[in-house]
Parts: sequence; structure tokens; C-alpha cells
Amino acid sequence: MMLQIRNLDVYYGAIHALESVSLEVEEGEIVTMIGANGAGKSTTIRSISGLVRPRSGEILFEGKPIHTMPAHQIVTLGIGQSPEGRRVFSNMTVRENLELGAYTRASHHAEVKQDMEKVFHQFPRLKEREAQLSGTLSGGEQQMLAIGRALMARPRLLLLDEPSLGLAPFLVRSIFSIIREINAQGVTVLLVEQNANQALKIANRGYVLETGRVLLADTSANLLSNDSVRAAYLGE
Amino acid sequence: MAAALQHLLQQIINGIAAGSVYALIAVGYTMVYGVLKFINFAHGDVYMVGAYVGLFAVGGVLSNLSPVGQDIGALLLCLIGCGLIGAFIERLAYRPLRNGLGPQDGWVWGLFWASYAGLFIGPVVEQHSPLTGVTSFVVVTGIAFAIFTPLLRLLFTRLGRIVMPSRNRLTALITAIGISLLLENQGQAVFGATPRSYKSQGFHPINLSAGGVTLNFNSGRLWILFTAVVLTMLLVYIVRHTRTGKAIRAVSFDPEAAALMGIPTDRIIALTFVIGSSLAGAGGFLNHSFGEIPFKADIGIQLGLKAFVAAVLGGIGSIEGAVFGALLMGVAENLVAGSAFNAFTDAIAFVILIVVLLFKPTGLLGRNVTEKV
Amino acid sequence: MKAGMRKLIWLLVGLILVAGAGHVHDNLQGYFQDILQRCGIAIIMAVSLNIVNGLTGQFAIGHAGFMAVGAYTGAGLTYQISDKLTHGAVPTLPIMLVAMIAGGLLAALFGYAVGVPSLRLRGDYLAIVTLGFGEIIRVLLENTDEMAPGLHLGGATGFSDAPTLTQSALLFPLIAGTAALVIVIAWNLKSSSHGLAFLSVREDEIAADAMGVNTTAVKVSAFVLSAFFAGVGGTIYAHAHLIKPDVFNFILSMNFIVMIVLGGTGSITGATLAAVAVTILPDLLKPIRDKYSVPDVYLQVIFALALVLLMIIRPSGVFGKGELKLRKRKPTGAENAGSEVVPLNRPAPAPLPAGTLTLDAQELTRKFGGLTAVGNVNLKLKPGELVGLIGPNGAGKTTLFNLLTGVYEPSAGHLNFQGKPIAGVIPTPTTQRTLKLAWDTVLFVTGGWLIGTILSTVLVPYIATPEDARIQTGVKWLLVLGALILALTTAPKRRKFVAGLKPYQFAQRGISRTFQNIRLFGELTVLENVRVGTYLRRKTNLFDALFRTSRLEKETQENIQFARELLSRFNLLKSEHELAKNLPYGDQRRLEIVRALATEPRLLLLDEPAAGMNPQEKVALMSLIREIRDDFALTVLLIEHDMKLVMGICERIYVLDYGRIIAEGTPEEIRSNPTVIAAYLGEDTEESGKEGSEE
Repeated sequence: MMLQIRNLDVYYGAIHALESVSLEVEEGEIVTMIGANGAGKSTTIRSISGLVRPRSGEILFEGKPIHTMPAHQIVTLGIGQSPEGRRVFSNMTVRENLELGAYTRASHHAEVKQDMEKVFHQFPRLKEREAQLSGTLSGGEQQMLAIGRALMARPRLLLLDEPSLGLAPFLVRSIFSIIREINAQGVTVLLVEQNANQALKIANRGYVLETGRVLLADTSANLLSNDSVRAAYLGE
Repeated sequence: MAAALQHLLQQIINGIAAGSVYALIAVGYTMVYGVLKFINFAHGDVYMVGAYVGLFAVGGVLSNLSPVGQDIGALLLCLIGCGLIGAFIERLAYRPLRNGLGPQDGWVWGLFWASYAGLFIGPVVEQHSPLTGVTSFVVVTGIAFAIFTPLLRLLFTRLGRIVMPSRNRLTALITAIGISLLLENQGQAVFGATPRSYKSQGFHPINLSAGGVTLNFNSGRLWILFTAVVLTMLLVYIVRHTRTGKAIRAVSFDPEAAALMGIPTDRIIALTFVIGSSLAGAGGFLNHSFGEIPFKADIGIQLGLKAFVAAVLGGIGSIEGAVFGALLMGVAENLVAGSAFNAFTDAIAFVILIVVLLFKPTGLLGRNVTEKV
Repeated sequence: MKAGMRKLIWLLVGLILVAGAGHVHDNLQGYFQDILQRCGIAIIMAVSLNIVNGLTGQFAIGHAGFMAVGAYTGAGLTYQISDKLTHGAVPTLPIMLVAMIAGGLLAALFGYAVGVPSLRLRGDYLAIVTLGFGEIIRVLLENTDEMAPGLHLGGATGFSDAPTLTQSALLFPLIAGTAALVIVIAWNLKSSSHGLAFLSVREDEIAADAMGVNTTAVKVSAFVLSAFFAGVGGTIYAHAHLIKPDVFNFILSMNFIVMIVLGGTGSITGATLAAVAVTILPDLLKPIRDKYSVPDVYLQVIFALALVLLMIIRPSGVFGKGELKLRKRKPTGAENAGSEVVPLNRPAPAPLPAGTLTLDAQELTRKFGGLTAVGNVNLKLKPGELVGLIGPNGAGKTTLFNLLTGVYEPSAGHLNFQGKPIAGVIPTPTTQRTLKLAWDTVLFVTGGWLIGTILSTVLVPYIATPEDARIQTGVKWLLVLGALILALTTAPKRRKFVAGLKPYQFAQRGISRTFQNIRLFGELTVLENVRVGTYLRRKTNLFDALFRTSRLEKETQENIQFARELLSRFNLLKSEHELAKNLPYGDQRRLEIVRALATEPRLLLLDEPAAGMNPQEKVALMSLIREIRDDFALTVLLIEHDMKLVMGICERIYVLDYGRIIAEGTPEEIRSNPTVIAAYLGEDTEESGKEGSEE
């Protein structure tokens, strides 16, 4: 088991944001979390990456408890994240953003260089804009940069928080095919999406969250054919 | 005419020297503001600590060294000592404010209270034992530290559940004021209320004459300028071009995103405190090292305020801006000090500030940031 | 009059309390009298500072400066009147009242002068400018003997000639009365709809602006009010203590800040209690200090440490943010909670002349640096239309919204609303133009003369002998001339523009909006959020609020009723007294729409109203938007990513890409437009149509 979350409880002040959430991700999988805004998807992601401290429960990464670790150490274990809203360093160039992505691996100069070439190969648009301030990129390009930046840390588990948010429909499709490619290269993916339909199409398994609780957990195929899921999240 | 020119040049030289001191302090304000977005009012008091460290270094610990050795040694001591104090302040007060109080803060607070134990009980031990003052202070502090830390860890584990971290800037500011008052009054309690001054042997007055114009200044003032220029250039290089510098910029732009890159944000924040405080400490030593300016424990407040004004004048968040603003302010102040308006010297910095902010709210070298709607 | 009676009773109770306190005071020993007096003055200062820092959330840290202005004005005045005319006389009540008002007014005037330029900006500028102001005042006062020896203000050594009331029975009633007045006025303000506008500025300035709250005016009036009472407090202080310029230093300002933070920023009762606590704390510690002969510095050390610990352990202040209450009172309007809401007839807006467009944007352009975020956009909305705006992220949709609501000024182009220009190049009437030119000229020439005088006095001695007066006059006139030229050359530019309408003026004219990332006033209740929306149609002014007139009470009732009617229509009435930040996400989005409707707009701009909702909620929202358009006779423009929503309800659609409109038409036309498919929907028409609707 790559990632295992057991009975996670998270509070924001008096608000109970996650109630006893349990979730598992096997190596090599794409797992998606779907649900409305405020359901707790982002909170789960943020707990895994150490930005939010759970009050109780545990998170195990490859058997190791990580819920008490600071965020920057979790990155070194091999968990990368493209955060919601992309959060690129818009006052720095595309290249500097990617370099910061490899912050934990600075001693491996040659490898980092190689990885950067790989990211540029995967996202040719970024190569074209290498020296540009990332704040001047379009939304789609910024999303690519956010994913590329996360990949620079050579994560074994990639957390993607709403990668398709606010992108034009044709860009949304290309983002999903990129996720599939990344997964094919051996990176396990945990994906949070509003776009439930697309997400379930590429995922192996899915979790449906509602008001801080896991409502359903099943294979994507089963979720896609589940009537209540179709009505509530797929808009049919 | 020559007299007027001489007066002008003299005031400009004095102004640049004063400005260099402001610059050394202003850089710390601007860096901390960059990463934490709050005005660290305790920063000026670190300057005061630097002045006292210089006093004890030159007059005591290093008095056997050669003049140049004394200066360089004292400068290094100030850089290191004040850097540590800056980091300690951050660790003691600002980090618990940011992240909440928890068992991880036990040792810092343990050390803090233990030093008080050393301060009060140390002299008693000294009287009744063969130990010297310093040794008894260290021994008592060490014992108290060993006792306090586990107790505080226990207490903070309990407290951690009810104490919420605060991101409120006002809270941070009041904390900074508290720390400032603490340093100032504790300084007065330890160092006494009488103004002190010292004179490093390495510095001497210089007379320059050319074409009927004679300029008098202390070589110390040249040293201030030189050190300020070298240190700030080094700093600008670090921030612009090194990996750590990029990390500092990333943290000040978006601390959460920076953490997701694996950047240890808390350590980077502590580092900015170390850098800023060591520069301020260096300023404290250099400005007082040639015995022309007496000081006591409250020196940091007024000077700190002015350095802060310089940082805002240049554009808060920008290191080059802080240096530029500081030099400008030093020169302007000294020009006014040498004129008929000399009684208003202390006000001129604020007047310039208000005038500049009216026309360019981001400061002279600051960049415009539009708020996302 | 019921309200009038109640007010009378409160006044009587207040007077009795003050008299009682005075009686207690008179029977105390001098030492305790002194403590009581100091507490009273501290209350005046803390509560008045709280009006700026607590209610409007600004960050003023130069309160001692205003106190100093009041102190020197008031004491200078009583000195001139009483001591000079009748030697050795103690100021009488009328003289004191005149002095207090004069001290307050001058401080308020300074507050206005400091506030107007610095409060227009957001962030820490007020802090820095007030800090500077405090220091400048102190330095000026230190030099009063050189600047104005005739006033005998004493310079740096202190105003030792100032008349004193320490031996007079007048002092304490003045202190207690003023303290009570400040508390009552602050309380009235906080509980009024004007106070809500103040609080909305604290919560979210941009949203407050969009709801028609003139944020600058609100901040300036709070600041001036606060300065006024600081000045009054200063006048009283000057008659109880020896005043010296360095009394009013940075540390004193910080003392007042500490009081309001300890009391819980914004809480009037908290500030009052904290003022008392901070004042008497040293006295309470006195026995311990005397017993163990603790040096004074260590008391300061303990105070500092306590402050730091308190901030870490309880950052929201000892008493928290809320007001302390003896008994829980029902919030305003709660008496008829749950009951049927009677619809309120708001007068229907006058119909526009035939053929007038609701909104007409011509060649609207906005550049940021070299980047064109919105370029040459033409957009026409007919009255009653429901129009969609789509485009990829970063295409400039939100920038366009910000142009249409006045958040940004256009770099080029025109914007007309209901046939009248509201942004872009707006011709100004001749009289206004002449007045502006005259004002500019006066301002620049005076400024030039002032700066010229100062600069030449400072700099000329450095470049010429003091006797050479010609250079001095030369520099001065050169600067005056330069300023005059500057004034005359910049004036034509100003002549073309109305000073740029602000978002609140857009709202007043009838344009309201919601935000992409919800911007509710989180710490206000649902009902209060909507009431902020009704604020811009107010007929009462700030004085009604300060003295709680019957006019104000009537208006408040009407607004609450209107707000509740709107809430009930959106099914939000059940949570009217909950804090907005505690609402579920979908309710927050709908509350934003309600708040926008409360401004009684003619044009409603919705920025991604369905973002983050699930498909069921989206369907409900769709019909709701159509419904409100019909019920309120609105024109609606909405940004939305959900193609199904846009195609389903919009009558026309504009497509934006790279800041330009690339297509415009009915949903069917847009769906089959090749440019749109290439840029936005995707190459494969068949599939994109399908996927678009699935999104």
C-alpha cells in the first residue's frame, strides 16, 4: 500500500472539515476524489502534504506515518503536489519555478537538468516561455507549469488538486491525457476534480466525498454507472 | 564660497555615513516584511544589542588583540551574536504565534527562563562558590534549562490543544512591540541607564585638504560605508542568484506553495531574521565604534524607527530600495542638521516619507502590486 | 415618542451615574482620585482609537500625536483666556468646554489632512503615515518657543504655564462625562447601519466598495472622529498633568494600541475594560514592588513579557472580539423571525427612453504594463437581456468585469451606462473645468512656494554666502514657476476626465456584482451582509447614527424588512443570524447574489455564480437567475464556465479570448462558430459539444 489514510479528523476552528476519512492508494494507480465544493477534497490533499494538521487519525506513506511531519519533509519522501489555483511563483521565470520544484534535489545537478529537459519535452509550451515571468503565462500554461514543477521533485505520488479548473474545454482534455501519460511513466496519482466525469474516466478507483465524509468508495466503472452518483455529480 | 562648499561636502559625507548605518538596519526590516508581512518593531533593539556587544568585545574580550584584530573580531562577534539573537527572538515569539504553541517550543522557552535563573541565582552562586561570574551564570542556566524544558514541553502539549495560531498582523505587531520593550528594559536592567561609549583603537580622525577645502571625519565612518556596501552587495547576490535566495523569494511570495516545493519555510524565515539581525548588529558596532556617539539601552527605538522609514521610503520588500532610501535619508537629515532648520532634523525623515508616499505609494524603488479581485 | 422617552431615560441614568461617580471620586484619597482620572482619560483614548482600528480595521499608530494637538490647543487656549485675563484663575466650565471642542476640532482637522491622502491607499500606509505624523508633531512642539514665542508653550521643557484643574471639582466630571459620551457614541455608531458600513470596510474593502460603500469616506470619517476625541482627551489631559512634547511619544501611542488589542479589536466594552486594566496594573503591582523593592525596569520587563505571552496564548485579546453582555439580547429584527415577511414596495425605477442601452462599452481597453488584458472590447446590453460571457481562463473575463464595475479604469475606450458615460474619457462641464484649473493652480503655486522656501533655506547656505539673498529668491521662484507650469500642463488632462468614477459610484448608479472567489463579510451575519447592500440607498447621515435619531431607527427597520424579504426569496431567512463565513458553500454564493440585489441594481454582473456547485444546485441556480431577472426587471451579464448553464439560460453570448471578443451571438450560433471551436471548445465539433454539456 502506497498511501493509507485512517480515520482522519480535521478541524478549522470549530468547523469539522473532515470526519473520520479513510482512503487508500495502491502503487501505480490513479485514484480520484470527487464531490462538491466544501466536501473536504482539498482538505484531504492538504493534510497529506502537511499543510493542514489533523486532530486525530493517521496518514501512512509506504507504511511510514507522515501526519506529524512538516510539509517540506513530506516532499523529500516522494510526494509532490500541484496545488489548487496553481500557485506558481508569478514573480519568477518559468525556469526558476522549475528549479524551485527541484529544491530538495539540488545536489543532483545533472539529474535535475535531465528532468528539466523531460518537463520541457512533455510541455513544449514551457520551453518556449522558459525565460518569461510565470505571471504572464495563460491559465493553461500555468497549470502545465504547476504540474511540471511538481514533477521536478521526482515524486512517486503526485497529488493534483483541481488541475482542470477554469481551463477551456479543449485544454481540459489535454490536461487529462497528460495525467494519463504521467501515470504511465510510473507515477501514482491522487486526483481531486470538479470534472467528475473526466476524472472517473481516467481513474482506476474513486472516492465520493460529501460534507467531510467519504460517501462512496468504488472502482471508477462502478461509480460511473451508479445512479445516485450520476444524478448528483455527473449532471444526468 | 569655499566655506560653503566645505560645509556641504562635510554634511554629505556625514550623511552617507549615517545613511549606511540606517541601511544596515533597514535591510532587516525590509527582509522580514518581505517574508512575514509585518513590521518587526523589535529590530531596532537588536541594533542596541550590537552596540553593547561591541562595547564588551572592544573593551573586554578582545582588548588584547591588535587594533585591526579588535575591529574585525568585534564585527564578527556582532554579526554572529546578533544573528543568533534575531533567530532566537523569531523562534521564541514569532514562530509560536504563526504555528501555535506546542511541545517543540519547550526548549526555546526553557532556555529563555533558564537565562533568567542564571541572571538572578548566578550571582548568589558566585558568592558562595569559587566559580567566576560567567561560569556560575552558565552553570545555573544549564541546570535550570534541564529542569524547565521537560516541564514546559508538558505544559505546551496541553496548551497546544487550546491555543490557535494567529495570522493577524496586529497580533504580530503587538508581539513585536512586546519583544522590543523586553529587550529595551532588560537591556537597561543589565547594562544600566547611564550612556556608554567606547573607542576602538583601529579608527582615527582623518583630515583631507584639497584646494582650500578641508574635510574632517573619522576613518570609522569610511569603514561603515565600506562594510555596508560590501554586506548589502553580498546579500543582493545571495537573494538574486543562490538557491537559498530563491527559496527566500519563494517564501515571501507564497509560503504554502514554497513548502510544497520542499522548502523548509520556518528555517528560511529564521534565516532572514539571522541575516537582518546580524546586519543590524554590525550597524550597532560600527556606528559606535569610534566613540563619537554615546548610547544606552533605548537607542534602538528612534534609530529603528528611522531605519524603518528608510525601508518604506525605498520601497518595502526591496533590499536595494532599503539601501537607497537609507542613504537618501541620511544625507537629507544631515543637510537639514547643518541648516537653519536644524531643530527639525528629527522630523525631516518623516516629512520626506509622507511626501514620497503621496506621490509614489510603493516607495521610490518599490514595485506596484495590484490586488486580485 | 417611545424612542425619545427611552433616550431621555438613558440620558438621566447617565447623568446620575456620572454624578455618582463624581461623588465617589470626591470622597476618595488623592491617590485614588488620580487613578480614577487616569482611567477615564485612558478610556477616552482607547475607545476613540478603536473607532478607526476596531470598526474600520485600519491601522493607525499615531494616536498620541492627535492627543498632543488637542492638549496644546486646549491648554494654549485656556491659558490665553483665563490666566492672562484674570490672573491665576482656574478655567471655568464654559471655557473648558470651548477649549475641549477647539482641541478636538483642531485634532480632527489634522486627522482630515493626514487621513485624506493616506486612507485612499490600502495596507500599512496609514500606520506609517500616522507614525510619521506623531513624530513630526512632537518635533514641532519641541520648537514652539522658537517658532511662536508669543504663545509661551514652553518648547521641549514642557508647558509649565498651562492652567490646571487638579485642584478643581470640575476635572473629574469632565473626564467621566467625556468618557461616557465617547462610549455611547461609539456604541451607537457600531450598532447602526452606518456602523455596518464601517465594519464592512474592515471585513473586505473591495466588496464593500462594490456594494456602494464609499470606503475612503468611511475611513476618513472614522479617522476624523477618532482624532476629534483624541483631541478632546488631550485637552483634558493637559489640565490634569504637566504636558511635555516627549510625553506624546511613540510609546504612548503603542500603549493605546495595546489597550485595544487586549480588549479585543472592535469591542467597545473590551477596550474600556482594557484601558482600566492597563492603567491600574502598575498600581496593583505597587505593594509587591515596594515589598521586594523590584526596580522599575523589571516592572516594564514583566509587562512586556505578559504582553508577548498573551499574544501567543490568546491572540484575539483577553475579552475576545465580541462585546461583553450582561444578558443575551436577541439580535435586531429577531422578534419577528420565522414569521411571514411582508413584501415591501420599493418604487419601480423610471423606464429608460426607448432605444437606450443598459450598458454600452466601446473599444474598451485595459493594459497592465505592456500586456493588453482587455483590448478593444465592444459590448452592448439591452434592458432586460440575459447575456453570457465565456472564454478560457486568463482570457480577460474578470478584468472586463472589473472594468465594467469601476475597479479598473480603462486605458482607452468609453463605457456608457443607461445612456450616460461612466468611464473612459468623460467631458466635464465648463464651470467644473474652470474650478479644477483654478484649484490646481492655487494648490501647485502654494505648494511650489512652500517647498521653494524650505529647500532654499536648507540648501542655499551650502552653495552661497548667507548674504546672497538673490539666489535664495531665485530658487524659490524657480520652484514656484516649475509648479505653475506643471499645474497648467497637467490640468488639460484632468479637464477631460471626471476624476474616474469609483466602484461605489458604479454601484450607486445601478451596477452591482458578485465575485468569482466569494467576498462576503465573513464576521457579519447573513442579514447584516444584506443590510450593507441597502446602505447606499440611505437617506440618513453619520450624525443620525452617532445620536441615534428616530429617522435612523425608521430607516433601519425598513432596510431590515427589505433585506429579509430578499433573503426569504432565496430561502436564506432561516440562517439570517448566522455568520456568513459559517454558511455552506452554495448558500454563500446565493448570499452574494442577495447582497448584490439589495443595492437595487439595474444591471447585475455575476462572476461564475455556479462555480463549485453540484449539478443539482446548478439547475436550481439557473432558474433562479432567470426568475430574478424577470422579477427585478434586471439586465444580467454572467461569466460562467459551465457550458450547459450558459447555453441553457443566456439569450446572447460573448466569447472572449486573449482579451478580445472573438464571437458574439445566440447559443446556437456560438456552438457552431468555427473560431470559438478552435480557441475554446476544441477541434472536434461533435465531441466538444457533447463534453461541453457534460462539464
